[in-house]
Amino acid sequence: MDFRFTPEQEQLRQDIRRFLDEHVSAELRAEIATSAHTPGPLARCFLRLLGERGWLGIGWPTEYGGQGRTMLEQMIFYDELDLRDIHYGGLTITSLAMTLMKLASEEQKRTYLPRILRGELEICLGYTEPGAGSDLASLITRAERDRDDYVITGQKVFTTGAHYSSHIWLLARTDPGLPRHKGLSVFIFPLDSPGITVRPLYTMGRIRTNEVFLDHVRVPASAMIGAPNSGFHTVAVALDFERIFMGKYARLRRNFSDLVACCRKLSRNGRTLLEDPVVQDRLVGLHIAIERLRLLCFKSAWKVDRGQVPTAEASAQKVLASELEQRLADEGMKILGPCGQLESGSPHAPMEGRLVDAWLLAPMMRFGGGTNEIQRDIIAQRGLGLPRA
Amino acid sequence: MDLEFNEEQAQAAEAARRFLARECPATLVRRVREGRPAHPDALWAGMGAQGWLALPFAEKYGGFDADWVTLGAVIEELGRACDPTPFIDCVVSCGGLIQDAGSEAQKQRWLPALGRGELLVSLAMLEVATDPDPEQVATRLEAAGSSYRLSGRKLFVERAAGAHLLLVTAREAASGELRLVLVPAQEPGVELVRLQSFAHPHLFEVRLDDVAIDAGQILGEGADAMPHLRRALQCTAALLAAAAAGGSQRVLEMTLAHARERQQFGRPIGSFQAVQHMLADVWTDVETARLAAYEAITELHLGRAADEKVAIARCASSETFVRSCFTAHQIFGGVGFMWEADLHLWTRKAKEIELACGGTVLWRRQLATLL
Repeated sequence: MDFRFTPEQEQLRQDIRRFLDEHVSAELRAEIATSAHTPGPLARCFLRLLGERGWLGIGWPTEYGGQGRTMLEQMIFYDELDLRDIHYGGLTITSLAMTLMKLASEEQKRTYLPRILRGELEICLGYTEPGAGSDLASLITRAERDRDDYVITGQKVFTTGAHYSSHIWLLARTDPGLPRHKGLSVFIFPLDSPGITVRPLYTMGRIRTNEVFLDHVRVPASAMIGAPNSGFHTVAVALDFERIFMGKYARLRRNFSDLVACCRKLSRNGRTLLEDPVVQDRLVGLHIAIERLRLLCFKSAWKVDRGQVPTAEASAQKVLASELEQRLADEGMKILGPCGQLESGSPHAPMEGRLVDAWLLAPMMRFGGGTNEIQRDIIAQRGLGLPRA
Repeated sequence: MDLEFNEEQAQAAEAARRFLARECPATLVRRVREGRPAHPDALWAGMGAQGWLALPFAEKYGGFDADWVTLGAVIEELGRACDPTPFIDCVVSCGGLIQDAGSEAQKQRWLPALGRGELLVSLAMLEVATDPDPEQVATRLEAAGSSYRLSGRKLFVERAAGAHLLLVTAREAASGELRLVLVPAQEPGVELVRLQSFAHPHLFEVRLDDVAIDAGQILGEGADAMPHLRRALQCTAALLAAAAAGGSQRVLEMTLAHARERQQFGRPIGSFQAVQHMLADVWTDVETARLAAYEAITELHLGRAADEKVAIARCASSETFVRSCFTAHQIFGGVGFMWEADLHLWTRKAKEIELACGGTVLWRRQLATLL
């Protein structure tokens, strides 16, 4: 047993750090700090730089122009980017591109993959509808065949990223006659197609999301991924790629370290916060929990590199990470006292208001990307083999 | 990175599981807990024959020089089996201290016997109303001519009545340094008082009243034993974590089996989301606790400053063991609450491990100083 990274892996981390030190400008950092999760012009520029330098393909097989690196190496890469809140294209790179490689036609691969790899093309997910959340198979957006085209009509909601992405990856009903999860298909097409309206939805967590209206949007049949009515399978494949990246620990570890640093600096009643045994014990509890998450992330990545599918591990990662993020933000605020509520930019705001951001975003982390309840179902049923209800 | 056992370690774990399934059934665990007998002689002899009792010792003392992960793998299995033996206290803590701190003559004299299962040693470290921190020792060792006198009170000494030797921590009056003293449990001036614990069935208070000590009973040759004790506590904590990880895995398996079999409302209770979610959380807990235990153990193996990883493992795995038992009781309901049911053997063991060797608070405090 060995829990350490190899010298080569440590070297990779140093290389990535050096690259980021050199290229992440003060202007970009300032843009990130105020961008509320929407990549600004400098962030998009940086995405293309990551593409130029070959970093976006870190986990892609070499036959598609990627670096073909292991999942542990990818984990190192994304951790380093996360620590600086760098936008790297997220799901487009780590999940949808991988799904395209697995399921798309040669022509579709030629159309999309090189542009994704250059950082020119970003895709948002069009799954959720007003009436279809966790029960995705109940969605009603229709895609009707019309000679060589499909005509899509319906509404998507919580379509995060639709306002800056170029394309949408949309699940629609192609055959209402089939049992509900069998009549669905996935399409990929540009968001500027005629008939699409993207409207902003502002949230309590600063992050902007969207609703997307589709009114007789005409797409060619070649926009369909895989065979007709195989959409649920396509989504499952994409989710398997996605899940391992959902629960990450790097930002949590950073926020925790910053909280400890704050507690060392701030004094109350003649002693630092860190000297208060009540504070110490709360921090110790958080520290142990973050270590558990780190080990689980190691385990998932290690399993992938051995050709195994970390189904239960990845779901557990998502649950642990999201609930821990909320707990860290919540307990951190309590420790910091009234200052804990102050937002970035305010006098006396500790940690640049980062705990406030995390606290406000936390509910979404728990219900988004497959609710934690769905994740626990997956652990119990697919991981532990318990029977479905 | 490699998160699984190598072949040798996997074989050790597998062999241990088979041996314990045969030699350490829950009926034996229960009998020993009730003191019938207080020490499982046959099991202990069998463990000796398997070579387990000599695993950590050097070959020249009859040992196997086993790596830490192999030792951890065996102890994880002992935890699974809820073993009623003093393995960690006797072999890991006391044996480790004799090997680390003892003189050549002392090692030659005690380690082979310990490894064969002929010698039982119990650590007498904790004291009344003192901190579990090993610095806080009031027991005094005073020079009297060419020999010494030992006085003090020790608490939570495991199986003192069945032990041949007590390994007593004491402060030498003249130097103020820590000494480790081997005291025969039946020596005049040694009084054993049984403590009634729901968790550990064989705990004693040891009253030492002006016990005559020969210089040869003091481990080493007059050096401060504190570094040795700290190291021993660290190893003990890491391996207690492995035992807790093993125990909680077993509890999860028992609970899963029950959830699959037990029918209510015409279907297995394991098909209910409320039950599934509890079990999903236990699985996550157990999985991460086990990883934490082995990360700490590999740090020991590498000879690195392992304090932080050990503290994390010690706390995480004990919390997990206790919590997994709480969930198990909820899912088993009345069936698991019965005296005849085996579950409470593990529930008690979980608390025994959590509170062993000064308890986990010591390690939480250790983590706080490392923040």
